[in-house]
Order: sequence, then structure tokens, then C-alpha cells
Amino acid sequence: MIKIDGLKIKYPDGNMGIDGLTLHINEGDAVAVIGANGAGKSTLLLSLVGIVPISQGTVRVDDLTLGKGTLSEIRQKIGLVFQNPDDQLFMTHVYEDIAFGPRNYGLPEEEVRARVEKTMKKLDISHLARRLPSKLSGGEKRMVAVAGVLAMDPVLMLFDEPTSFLDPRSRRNLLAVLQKLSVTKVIATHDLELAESLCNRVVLLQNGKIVADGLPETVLHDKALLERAGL
Amino acid sequence: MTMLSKAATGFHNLEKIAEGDTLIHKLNPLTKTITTFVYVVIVVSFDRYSVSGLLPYVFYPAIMLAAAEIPLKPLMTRLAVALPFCIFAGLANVVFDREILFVLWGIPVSYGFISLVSIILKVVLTVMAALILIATTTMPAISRQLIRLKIPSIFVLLISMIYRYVSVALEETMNMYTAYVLRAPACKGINMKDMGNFVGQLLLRSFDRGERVYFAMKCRGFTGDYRYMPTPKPPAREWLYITIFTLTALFLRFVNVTQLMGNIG
Repeated sequence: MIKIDGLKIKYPDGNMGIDGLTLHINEGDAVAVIGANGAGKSTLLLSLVGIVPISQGTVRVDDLTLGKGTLSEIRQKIGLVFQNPDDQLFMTHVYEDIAFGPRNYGLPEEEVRARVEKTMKKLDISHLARRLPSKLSGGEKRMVAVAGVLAMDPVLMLFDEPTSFLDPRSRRNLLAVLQKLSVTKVIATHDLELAESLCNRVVLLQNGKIVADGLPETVLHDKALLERAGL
Repeated sequence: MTMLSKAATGFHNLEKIAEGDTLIHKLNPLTKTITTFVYVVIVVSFDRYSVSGLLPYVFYPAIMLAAAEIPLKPLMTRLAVALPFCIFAGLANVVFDREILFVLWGIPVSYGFISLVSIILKVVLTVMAALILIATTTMPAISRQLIRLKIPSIFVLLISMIYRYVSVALEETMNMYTAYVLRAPACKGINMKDMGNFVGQLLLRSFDRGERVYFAMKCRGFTGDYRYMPTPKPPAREWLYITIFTLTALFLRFVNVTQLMGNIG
């Protein structure tokens, strides 16, 4: 479904963000990408949606190869939920924000409305439709950010540190929602508990390279390996 | 900093008021946008020495405030922000245009002073009209009507985003300020020698956030042109209201009713 081959990303300062990464993700997978700060987790996610330019290698989603000509289609297939929901909730009302993506893809207004309402119902946030994003709690903001991406009906969802800034209750709510989502997921996180409970595969990054790729119970219980990777 | 906190908490008060349920709130947003636009253009079109001609226009904000049940205080607070700018602009006229127009109770009144009064009156009326529009129409509704009025969508999106992110910028400033005062308990406010760093830091953070917001927009298919939800056109009776409003405003523009009444008196 998504094939990343020999991916290299060089930062403007000359450092390698991602260094020859190869990763194949199958439909329905929930993959946790873990690693210390600066390991390249966020860079990897941003490169998959064409925000960070690729220096070398290829990214294929279904039959599309990531490039200038396919960016729009790729971004419709891959949704990215940012680490800070305030970066993502830029419209004046929750409803408008969730409708932003579907409208950009030219869907008729009835379809946009149907999608927004269905998504809000799915995430149990229908009561927030008329609220201002700035007046939401951290947990609510996160849910709306997820809804904004989910309403685009992506085949793959990328989450950048989804549990950061959340209190335990909001975290539990979010985990329950993520568990329910049948879409393929890639979750960049420091939250090893989340990785274990939610994902069927864990990829450990260090200095832009994969140093372990396997089942959560294998990777997450190898203390020496985690220690070496700075976790 | 209390001022900043107040600004942050009070920023969206008008938006709450805009969700009211009065007759004015229920008017089609396009009706309100057109009447406000007509009102502002006509008020601004008066010459610099007009005062009496502007007086009948005071009725519009007064009637709207009463009919929409808008509390006066939040509007006056916002109006107070605009006033110093127009007073400073008008003061220049008082200084440079000293020719005496008439003497009132022994006090000479210059053309410059009359133009200062005229500028203040115009600012009060137009700002009040804009505030009343905001206080009776939600921001998304205004945005959609601006699109209908053929304002380029990129400008409308910019306005919406400024509206959305002012509160975030205030929050960011407050966080930085709190971090500052916790490490400088003896200081009252920000020391002038640190002000450059403080503002610079805020600017850099704003750039960073702006970039992240843009990335988030691109990820959701934004290409520079955004389609807003279409809204129904105003019904026939509202078009009638727009027509009567425009004709009355134009009539008052060309016939100085205040002067006529004065002459009769």
C-alpha cells in the first residue's frame, strides 16, 4: 500500500534527517514510529505528504509515486494530524474547519455536509460544531484536528505525537477513538504505552535510520535496544 | 498584563453576541453586509467640514443597537481603541487650518476644529456600523458574504485567519510574559532593555507557527483558493429593506435635514 524505498532527506544545514530508509506498510496496519528527539520521526511524516522535500529515494502510495504532479492526490490519500492542534485548526468555527479539506477537493456542499456530520458523529463531537477552536479544551482540539483529517476520507492517517499536551482522560478518549479507526495508521510517538496498546508493528528510528522493525512485544521489551536508541 | 488577559478573554465576546436571536441577527448576512457597506461609503463621502449633515446617521447605530439588544460596553471598548488614532489625525487640521469659521459664545471656532469633529464623527459612525455587523453576524457568515461580493477568497481567508489567530498570539504573548516575570520578580512589566528580545522572540514564534499552519493547510488540499459554503440569497422583503435603506441614506446625503429643521425652527 505504501512503499518507501531508499528515502534520504538532507536538511538545509547539510545534516541528514532521514538516511536511506526503506519501509513498506500494508493496508490496515497500525505502525508506531518511535525514537529519541531528532531521530527523524516528524521529518518522515512530513516527507510522506510532500512538505519536506525528498533528496533521494521514492515514496509510493498505491499506484502513485510522490512527486510534484501527484501531490494533490497523495494528500487526499494521506492525512496528517499535526502535533499541536492549534497549527491545524485555523478556521473560525469547528464545522468550518472540518469542512476545509473536503471543500478544497471540490466536493459538492451536500457531500461536504454529510462528511462533516458523519465524522463528528463518529468522534462524538457533534456538540462542538458551532464552537470556536480557541475556546476548546486540549482534548477537544485534538479530536477536532483528527476529524478535520478524517473528513477527507484518507486511506492512511499519520499522527505526530497524538497524545502530547493531553491529560489522562483526554488521552484515554483519544486512544479509544484511534482504536476504532479502521484506516491504516502511522503514529510517531514517544508514548511507548500507546505504541504497545494501539499498534501491530513498531519501527525504531535512530539518526534517520531504522534500527528495529517488528512486533511491539519484541521491540518495546528490548530494554538494551531502547536504551541504545536514546529512549 | 491584565490588559492582555482581558483582551484575550474578551476577544470573542462579540462572536458570542453574534449568535443572538433577534430580528437583526436573523437578517440574511448579505443584507447586513450591503447595508453596512452603503452606510460606511455614504458617511465617508461627506466633505471634511460636514457635521450637521452627519447627525441623522447617528440614528442607524442607535436603532440597530436597540433592536439587536447589543450591550453598549463591549462596542464602546473597541471604539475607544480607534478614537486616539483619528483624534491625532484630526489635531493636525486644528494646527494647520486656523481660519475662523464662526464665533460661538465669544469662542472662535476654526475650520480645523470643525474638521476634527467631522473626522471623529465619521470614525465613530463607521466603526460602530462595522462593530454592529460583527456583533450581529458570525465571522463565517461575513466571510461567505464577502466572497459573494466578489472579494478575492485569499483576502477573505486572510481576514478569517487573523480573526482566528489573534487569540493564539495573545496567549503566546501571555505565556512568554509569565515566563519572563517569574524570572524577574522585581520588574514591573518588561524591562525596556529586554523588550527587543521579547518582541523578536514573539515574531520568530509567529513565523514558525505561520509556517506550520500553512503546512497544515497544504496537507488538506489548499492551493491558494478556497471555496466557502454557499448561503441563501436574501428574501424579497430584505431586498426591499436594502432599497429603502439605501434611498434614505442617499437622501440624507444630499439633503441636509438637520439644517432644514434648524431653518424651520
